[in-house]
Amino acid sequence: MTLFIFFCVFALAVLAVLYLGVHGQQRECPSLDALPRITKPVDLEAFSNLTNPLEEAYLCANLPGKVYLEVRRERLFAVLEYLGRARLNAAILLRLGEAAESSADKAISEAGQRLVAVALQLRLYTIIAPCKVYASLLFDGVSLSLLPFERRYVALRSSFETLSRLQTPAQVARLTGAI
Amino acid sequence: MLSIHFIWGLIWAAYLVLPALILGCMVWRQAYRAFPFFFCYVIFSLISSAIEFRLRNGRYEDYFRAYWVADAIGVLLSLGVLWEILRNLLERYATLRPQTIRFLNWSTASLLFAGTVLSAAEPNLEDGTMIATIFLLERLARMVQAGLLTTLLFLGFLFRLRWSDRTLAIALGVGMYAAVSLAAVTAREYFGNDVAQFFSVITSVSEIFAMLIWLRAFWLPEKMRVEQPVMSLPQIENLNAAARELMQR
Repeated sequence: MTLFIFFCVFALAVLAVLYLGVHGQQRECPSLDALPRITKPVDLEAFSNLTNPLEEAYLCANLPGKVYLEVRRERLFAVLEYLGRARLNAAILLRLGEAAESSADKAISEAGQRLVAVALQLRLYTIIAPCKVYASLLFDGVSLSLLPFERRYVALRSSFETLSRLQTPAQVARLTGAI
Repeated sequence: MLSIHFIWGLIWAAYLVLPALILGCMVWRQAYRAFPFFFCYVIFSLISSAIEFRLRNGRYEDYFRAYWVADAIGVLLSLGVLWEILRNLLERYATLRPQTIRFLNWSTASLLFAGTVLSAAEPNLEDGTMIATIFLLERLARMVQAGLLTTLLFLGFLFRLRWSDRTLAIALGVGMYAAVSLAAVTAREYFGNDVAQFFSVITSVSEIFAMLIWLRAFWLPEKMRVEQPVMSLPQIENLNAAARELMQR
């Protein structure tokens, strides 16, 4: 009976994922005007400070043990928040890149392709990186090195800047400031 | 109340008409170029349905053999269809291709392993060894099929990948049929021959539903992706030049 229930639950789960897959497809591509409302900006400098091992060593040396642990916990939650924001931004920029890919203008199409590739790399990274952060939350000794994140986020910004320079040159600063 | 003969009559009619219509739409839309495996799968469905229809009132052994051989070939072809879905999905996402293929290889191995262990753990409820083996293989194949499609859809959801309407329709149909077949084969094996007819009807209805999804996908023209309503740099420069000219007049 257990195996019968298992296979039936598995089949139901498959049907549920199929439904989610179809439902998820109905998302439309956001317009550039709406972009600042739906993206969440990422402060790379703050992120860099939060993940800097030297800063952590300084805090460890200068704060009492309990306070240090509390501060460390809060800093790690802030890192998680930034990773979440980056994941969201990558998904939105992926849609914009895909829309630009189909443009008749070759320069826009190529910029769209680059944006899609960079956004996917960042999304993959921001899906995996939180595991590292959670491991650091659980175990004090685990060092948190998220150096590739900054490099990838800079690449995403730069690709998006190139695309927006081609599509809406007057709004480049406003749009890139939104991510 | 509808008689079981009438229901089977409708099912047979759908089995013969729907694949023919899907093939017609695929040829009309020239979609067989993008989905060659799926095209072969539908041709095979049509031929096997015609053969089974011809044999259904003859000797039971002939029908039985034809049905299960067709089912085995259908499963193999549907694995080709899965590969086609993967290829179509990742066509535009070259960055993800190596990781996804590696992940799917591992998923296939894990599903095969899990299916084999679970099937081996279950006591044999059938009297005949051959039918039990067939059910076991069918369940394993459906589990791999459904599991792989779920993994693909989940990855697509995770990375926010955009599926083309037709690829999604094919995935939806294959996945739905595999999931219902898996549940029906398990239930049929568990509850025995008394409910065989009922689960056969359910599986057939799910296959017909899948065919209706495919028919709709190939009947409608593929939607073009909406482009951003923005202008390119040269277009904006032209507009600016025209505005300057106007101001100078």
